[in-house]
Amino acid sequence: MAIDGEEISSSFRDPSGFVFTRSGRIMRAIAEGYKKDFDLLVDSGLYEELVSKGLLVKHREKMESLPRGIYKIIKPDQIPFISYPYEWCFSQRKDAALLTLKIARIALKHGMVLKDASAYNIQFNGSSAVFIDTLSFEKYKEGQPWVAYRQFCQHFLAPLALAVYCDERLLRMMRIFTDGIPLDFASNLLPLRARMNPSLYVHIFLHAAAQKKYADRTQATGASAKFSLKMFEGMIQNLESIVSTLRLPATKTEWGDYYNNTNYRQSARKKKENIVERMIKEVGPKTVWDLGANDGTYSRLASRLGIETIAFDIDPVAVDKGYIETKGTDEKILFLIQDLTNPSPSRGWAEEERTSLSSRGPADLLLALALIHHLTISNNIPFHKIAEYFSKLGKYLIIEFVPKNDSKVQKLLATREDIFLSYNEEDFARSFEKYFKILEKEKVAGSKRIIYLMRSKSYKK
Amino acid sequence: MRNAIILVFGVLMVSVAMTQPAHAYLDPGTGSYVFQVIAGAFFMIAVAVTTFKNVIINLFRRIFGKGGEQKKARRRDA
Repeated sequence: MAIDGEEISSSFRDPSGFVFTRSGRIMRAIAEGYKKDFDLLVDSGLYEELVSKGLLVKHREKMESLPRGIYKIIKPDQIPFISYPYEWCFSQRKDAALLTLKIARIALKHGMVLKDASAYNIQFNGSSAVFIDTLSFEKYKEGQPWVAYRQFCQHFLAPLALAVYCDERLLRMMRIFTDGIPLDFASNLLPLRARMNPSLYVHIFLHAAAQKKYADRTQATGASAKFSLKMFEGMIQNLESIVSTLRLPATKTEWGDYYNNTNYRQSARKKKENIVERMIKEVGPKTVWDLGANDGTYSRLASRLGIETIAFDIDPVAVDKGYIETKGTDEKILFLIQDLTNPSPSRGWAEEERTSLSSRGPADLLLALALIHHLTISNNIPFHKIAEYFSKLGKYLIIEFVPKNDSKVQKLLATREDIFLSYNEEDFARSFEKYFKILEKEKVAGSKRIIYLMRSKSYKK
Repeated sequence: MRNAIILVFGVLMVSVAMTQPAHAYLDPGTGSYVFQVIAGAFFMIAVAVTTFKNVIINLFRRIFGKGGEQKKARRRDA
């Protein structure tokens, strides 16, 4: 007898169970072999403590006949949008690290231990980090070191240290090193002053050296020594301490103060907000993706209406700022880093373990405000290619056309030859009409820009 | 230098029980497993240092914090 559902391409490594979908809902099957640990998770009070504190995703048991080898089927609370560590800003990665350690510490109090410390075990519900892998716990056996220590250092500590001591952009490397940054690689990149921090010196540099030294050995010989509970708790506490103190140096990027330096007068900006809000209400979407969201001014027009909103931007400073401002609130908004000219592709085993941006859509509504000129002029992407991609990403589109005589466009053209002969509203509309039905447009009074509302021809109404 | 420090910490030859718990599917890495035992003493010392540091900081806060509160109360009464 098979399970009623469809398998998920990323769920195959842990024999304790697997995730699958049923009618578009995520479900989890628990293997018979995991019965004792799962029952201990509940009976020890660990599940109750973690769920009541909002640290672990809650689930409900499904009463149904089960195939052989399956102990239970549970339905966890659904996460609105799956995101990956390489799409997170620094603060999101840091909070995910601290959440993992907090859970590891609480688990030890209940006689259990986390058997993995993967960054993919964390997801964001709105702007709140939550641990989603209910099967990550097993009975603690005193004397045994933490099996997930290497993974924690590679997925969290090394990337965070690289961001602080070298460059924040190194956090994107998780796209290449899907099981975290190898510690010898991090050791080579980190500057001398990182070695001055005793905890970093131990957890990264000495750790990397030990990995190299013991790489080919299957068993060391000699007198036995144990890793006591006190040592384990000490290690977790030390990791919490070092992660808490890691902070990015204050930086300004070209987008950090964007909305203070736009060419919108206050009155025109207010009018634009009114137009966009009216159009959002007309569409009535369940999900909104704001492309090039910057500080989330327009994303929050949607999230304040209770709509699940993702605010994407290429600038990690803007994303970090937006995340910090909305963290811990009930607002259904998640800020993520995304470069639209190079969006997240499918990654991992068989090229389907981690899914591409477009396969996590389509969104009901896309916002593309103050964006088109950056794609066309700065990145040489013609209108029709943008229209084609956007028509797959979302069912509806609110897009702002920024004409060539706009001061921002003039700034982009200041240091280059103007080869953009077809950059005008007519060609823009004609190109988009191949993929969208234009429903309405409205000029923003007090500016030269026009806001369009369109419906993608790729999706039935 | 690094190897010397590892040797200093790991004067004891270590033998780590390599039997894996039933569902620990993750490869812990031999070096990472052994390293934790070697560095175990460091983790306990680090916690002791942090605890001691917090005790001193709290002590100073109690001594100097009380003076500050009294000054604020006087301004309000005036």
